[in-house]
Amino acid sequence: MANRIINMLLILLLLLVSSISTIRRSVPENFARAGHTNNWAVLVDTSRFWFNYRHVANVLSIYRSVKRLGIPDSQIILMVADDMACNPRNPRPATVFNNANQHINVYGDDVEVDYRGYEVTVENFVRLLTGRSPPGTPRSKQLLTDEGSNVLVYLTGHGGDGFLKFQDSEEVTSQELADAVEQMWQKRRYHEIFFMIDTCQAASLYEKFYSPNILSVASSLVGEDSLSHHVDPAIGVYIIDRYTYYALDFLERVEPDSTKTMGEFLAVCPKRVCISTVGVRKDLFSRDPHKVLITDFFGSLRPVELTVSGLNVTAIPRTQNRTRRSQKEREVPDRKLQYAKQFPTFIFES
Amino acid sequence: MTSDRGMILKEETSDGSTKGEDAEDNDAYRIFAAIAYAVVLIVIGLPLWWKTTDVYRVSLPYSRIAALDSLDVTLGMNISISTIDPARGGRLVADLKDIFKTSKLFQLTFLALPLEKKDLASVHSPEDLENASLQPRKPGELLLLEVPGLSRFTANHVLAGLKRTVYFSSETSESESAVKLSEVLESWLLQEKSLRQTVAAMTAPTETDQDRSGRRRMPTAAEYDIMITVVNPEPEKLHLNWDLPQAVQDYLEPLLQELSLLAAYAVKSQWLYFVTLNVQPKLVTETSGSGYQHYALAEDILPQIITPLEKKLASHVSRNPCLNFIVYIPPCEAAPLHIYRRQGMRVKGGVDAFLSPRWGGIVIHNPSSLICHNTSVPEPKEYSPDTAAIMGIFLAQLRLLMGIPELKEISRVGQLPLSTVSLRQWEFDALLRVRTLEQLTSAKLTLQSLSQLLGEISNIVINDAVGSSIYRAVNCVEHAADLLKTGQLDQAFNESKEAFLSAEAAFTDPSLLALLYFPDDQKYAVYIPLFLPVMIPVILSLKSIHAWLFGRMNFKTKLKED
Repeated sequence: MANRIINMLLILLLLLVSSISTIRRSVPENFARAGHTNNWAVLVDTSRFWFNYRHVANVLSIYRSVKRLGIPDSQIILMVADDMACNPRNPRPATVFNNANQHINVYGDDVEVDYRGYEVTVENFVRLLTGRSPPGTPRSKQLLTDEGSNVLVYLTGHGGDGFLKFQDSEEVTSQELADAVEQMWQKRRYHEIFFMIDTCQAASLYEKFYSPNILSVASSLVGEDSLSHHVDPAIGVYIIDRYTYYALDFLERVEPDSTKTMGEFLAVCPKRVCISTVGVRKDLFSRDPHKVLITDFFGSLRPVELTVSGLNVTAIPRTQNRTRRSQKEREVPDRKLQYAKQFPTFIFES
Repeated sequence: MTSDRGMILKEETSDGSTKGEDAEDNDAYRIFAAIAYAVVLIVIGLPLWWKTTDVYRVSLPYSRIAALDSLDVTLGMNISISTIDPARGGRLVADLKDIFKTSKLFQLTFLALPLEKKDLASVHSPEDLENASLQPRKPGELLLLEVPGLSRFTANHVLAGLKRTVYFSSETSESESAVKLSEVLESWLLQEKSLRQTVAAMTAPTETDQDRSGRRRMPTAAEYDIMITVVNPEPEKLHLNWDLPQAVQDYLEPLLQELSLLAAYAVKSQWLYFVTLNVQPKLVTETSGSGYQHYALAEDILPQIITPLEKKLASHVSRNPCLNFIVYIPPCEAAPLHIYRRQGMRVKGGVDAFLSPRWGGIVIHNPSSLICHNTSVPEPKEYSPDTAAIMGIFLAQLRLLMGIPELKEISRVGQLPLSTVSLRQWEFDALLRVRTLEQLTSAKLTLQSLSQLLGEISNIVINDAVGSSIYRAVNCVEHAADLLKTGQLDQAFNESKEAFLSAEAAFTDPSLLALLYFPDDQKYAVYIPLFLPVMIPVILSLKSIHAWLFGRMNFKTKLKED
């Protein structure tokens, strides 16, 4: 008898708990209030040549995730040598896969590469970050952030202790990167930066940062190498790196209205699967990563305010309207409908 | 004599002595050669090398830029008070002076102006007051006017006008007037707290955040793009009869004309078809107490509307900041669509619109139910949207996005409603003030950052263009601060805009990236292997040159003494 009562109480308690946990569906209020208004992403792959296929797959997978979660192409700067899809050694031309199952073609037909081929240089990267581009640089190649922008910076390629190799011919040191980010801070060109780097000895690249509001994660510490995940025998090269593979695994389960936190993302690749140790630098970041939504950096949700009333404008008298409209109707030809252009520069050219 | 001796000795041909003479000659020639090397390398070469490897740097006014830190930026302003009783005016002036003497940003000068009763004799409505000739015309000035019998027009004690005047009633007691007027000045007209917070947020962003209106305000720019989009998801069912260019010209152009001092505007419009909202609104049936069946959009999912819609708008073609205004007209099957607040009720007044700070606004305009429920009309049904309503909402959103804040309620204080004119002149003055301070602060910070960068890295080339931009920016900042102090608001704004643009041009000049990879240790690594092997013999031979020269001089003096 007592047992039955206890059982019933337990069942009631369970029901109560489960009903409470399913109430919330939208963004909870207790998450640290984000002060950003827009999101940008700078995704850089610094290597070229066929055997570095995995770096291209890395960066294109992050590009796909970021696009799916809402950041528009106009706010993504993609720097890739872009010599994989049409490489003569590619047995599946016009495709880049990030998995041996070859389920997703991350290259697709709407990838928008902003800096390709030999344009991926240290000089262009530093010019992009500091904003000192030569006049005439197209808008899609500029980082037009302001003080409310959260920027995601993802670098992948071959790196060493304190440097990152750019296309086998030059290198960028961690001090230069730190100085470029400081120049961004001086002009208030970012609100917060999330710096992700997947190379060997990646942690050395974020050691020298000295500007505020930067959260960094690296796939390996100084002295360790970042390893690739698996080889695709049909293509013949390593197809993705370990850290990015597990990061993608996490991001694939994130939706634009997700409540997952950056703290969970920072713990995404434990040592037993990643083999290298993931390094995190949080001392420059003012908020607690466990209270920061992942869509603060990976997605693009703009803050919204309801408009309570409109201005009471006096309407223009009807007679004037009608004469103008009848005039227009007489002269208006058939309006041609067309698909929206991807770069409709004609709109703002006078 | 030496040569004679040499000749004589040569004839005597003793090998040792000829060798001695020759040796001495050789010595001399060797020393001359060493001197020549030393002269060419050290006296000519070293300065020439220094001059030719010198980086071209225009000298910059570092001390003036450092002095900008302590630049005293105060806004001087003349506020005139007109009362019928001069004594009352004098006491009001004293009271207000007392209240505002602790202001850190403003230097307010209160003047008491006499007022004749006949000036206000023909006033029958507040609009007549507006047209009276005693309105101040200069931007930045303000008039506080006592109106006997203000209670005929309004129950409020203080009424803010459409131009640069605030009317207050003569029936209220003096202390109460002083308090109310100071409240109106503080939170509506001067906005000192907001100005100080804007400057603090720019100078120390890690400590202070922008306030609500600052977060919403578009960033400073010389030109803005405004893009108006009409989204019609099912054009085969609903045909919109709307002359959008005409509507823009009628309603939007006057406001942009008034704001033209601040920046240039390029307004474009477009129509998008077959684009949906990508969210699922909930169906609310008639039985749930609201009266009719409609669809509800929760406030929380509104951000998810903007994200996919942004990809379809062509707002990213120019470098100027773009304001997007979107009208979404739901098809009849999904109409009417209303927005519900988080608390579960609709916005009073039936406005379904929202804005996103620094981006733009979206209005949901439902087609009228008469047209939708009229099944006798074949598809596509014709519908003319209510232009005045939609444009009214756009204007309200545009005012907020350009930086005109909503005013907090003060009891017994009202404002004259706007009818045709979309901007009150004192609102425009407040906007000028905040933009001037923003631009000045931004120019100051840019100049200081640039001078620190160029001072530390001595290798960066500073060409003439950058140098002249920096000089122009510094001059304009100092001039703007002077103009602000004397209260000339529009000229101060223009100077600060010039300063801001010059500072930006100097900072983002592409030539500032040259010689960046040239640190000191690389310099030594390049020059030491080149110069050291050459300079070692020269330096060492200086000793023997010195010895030979002194030896000759001693010999000559010895000969002279002899």
